[in-house]
Amino acid sequence: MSELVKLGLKEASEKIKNKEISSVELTSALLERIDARNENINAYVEVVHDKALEMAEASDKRIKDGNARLMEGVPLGIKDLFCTAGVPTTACSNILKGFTPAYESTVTKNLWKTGAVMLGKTNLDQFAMGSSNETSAFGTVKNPWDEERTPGGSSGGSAAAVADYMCLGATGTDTGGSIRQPAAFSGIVGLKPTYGRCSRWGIVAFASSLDQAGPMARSVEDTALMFRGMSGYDPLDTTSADMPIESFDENLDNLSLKGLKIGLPKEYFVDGMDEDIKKATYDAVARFKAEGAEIVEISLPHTKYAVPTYYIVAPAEAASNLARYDGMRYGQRVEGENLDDTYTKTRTAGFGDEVKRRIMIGNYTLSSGYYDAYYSKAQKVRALIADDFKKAFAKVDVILTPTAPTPAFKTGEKVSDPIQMYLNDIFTVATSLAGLPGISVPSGMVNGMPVGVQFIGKAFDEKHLLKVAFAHERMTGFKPLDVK
Amino acid sequence: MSIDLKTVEKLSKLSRLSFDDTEKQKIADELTKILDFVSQLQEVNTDGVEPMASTVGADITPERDDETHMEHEREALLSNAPASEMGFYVVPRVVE
Repeated sequence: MSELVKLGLKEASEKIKNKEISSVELTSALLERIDARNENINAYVEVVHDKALEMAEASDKRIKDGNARLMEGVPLGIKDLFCTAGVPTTACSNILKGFTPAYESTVTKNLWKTGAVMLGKTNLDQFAMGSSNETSAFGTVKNPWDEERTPGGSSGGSAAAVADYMCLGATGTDTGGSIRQPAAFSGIVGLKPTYGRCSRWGIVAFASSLDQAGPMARSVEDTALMFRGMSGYDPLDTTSADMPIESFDENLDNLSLKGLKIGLPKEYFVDGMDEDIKKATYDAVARFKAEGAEIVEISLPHTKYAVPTYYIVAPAEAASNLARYDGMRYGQRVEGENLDDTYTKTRTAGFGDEVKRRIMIGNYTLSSGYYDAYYSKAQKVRALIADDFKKAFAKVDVILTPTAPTPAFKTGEKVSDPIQMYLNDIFTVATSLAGLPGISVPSGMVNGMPVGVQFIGKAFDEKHLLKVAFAHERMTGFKPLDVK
Repeated sequence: MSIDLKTVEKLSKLSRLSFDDTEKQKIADELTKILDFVSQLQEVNTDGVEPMASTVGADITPERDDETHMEHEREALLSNAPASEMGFYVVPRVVE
């Protein structure tokens, strides 16, 4: 294995700009790593060898001509939920097998404009519905730290590819925790930005009021640089926020912890929580305290209702979004006796079990007679959850919680019980419902597996959030996966 | 709230999905469990609370100018169609 694959994203970008290494060298090393590892880990569902090398050559030429851009020549993995022009995009569902978009998602377009190179498309839970990558039509992904365990989900392929040195960074999407939970399970950093920061245009839609793209990488600095490259206002997305792109990756160490107010929501530290997770989180708290941060107990009283709220809002939006898969314009079509029969046969053959379950739930809660009791009720509780955070942020600068209730569990362990699987999102969904940014950063090891903590910030305050995460990373001294 | 097979059949028709009898029973059981779980929301007092549909305000999401522009090429989009002819999608008969 070439040691080049272990370079950090920002480090590599600087070495390429300084002509210490070429993008082609680095890209070739990563493609070799993928060829050696992917058959086993299954992090990528599509590897684009030729395209990657073409993009790398173009980057090297720009460097030679003195036209280097922000992330010139840096190779990335792209979650297979982002439409990529000319490269198959499936959402890891059979219903989209064979679909090759004619257009590029705004987020990936932004990344290519900064000079980044695409290595391939990464595995995910089908339509991003799942927390273990087990609902993918392309099979499960192995956690590189322990191959019997899941890397989490839905951005499980991205997390595993980053952790196992098969890319320098990867895109993820997060609807209820799909960037943060796999980042925690796989010992990497994952940022779910404020809703509206990254354009949703060209991303296969799951739950439109919650879906948000974000970066995953092995360090906070790398995550920050990638975030800078992918975010920004987009007129093609009506929910895209017209906010300036900041130099998120610069001056990350410019933060005094003295007097920094860190909120610990008491509802996140309850009886019966995993002792190891509790300890890892309190260890992080102690390190901040030692450097002068002020720890403030806060209350987010509607926390308990976040998961049930999410499992009404998200399936309802999903049921509506997924109505478009009718076999007429793209994807698979199974011919039936008439139009309705064709729709039904196509959807029945194309969607996996979890996707069908959520469509059915969504259509139930949206149907007449139940709409007020479920969907409308959930939207009201959502407002209360958002208000809890608003009140808390009047008292504190940032909130610290565990990312996930346990370290990575074994593949197959929770797949038969949907509610157990849904409860994996217990610490991440509230942030999503409130539209706030959350970042998961490794916080130590438990029985040989990495665990993460989550920092939650104020809306559009990612710069500050990243600085806090950077301080945490420095104090923790977490070591990424050791490979030979 | 218990979901019966009749409700599953109604929902599967709305969803354009079909299930065999074993699957129907399984889905009825799962949906019952999930709806029981989410029903705890009923205990929250939401009197006077406005439903929240989006977390971003209109103040930071400007409308774009109302101008036409070419986003996609017809041929490129049609290349993904399961069936197309003469620049159109070919679909089963819609009106009997």
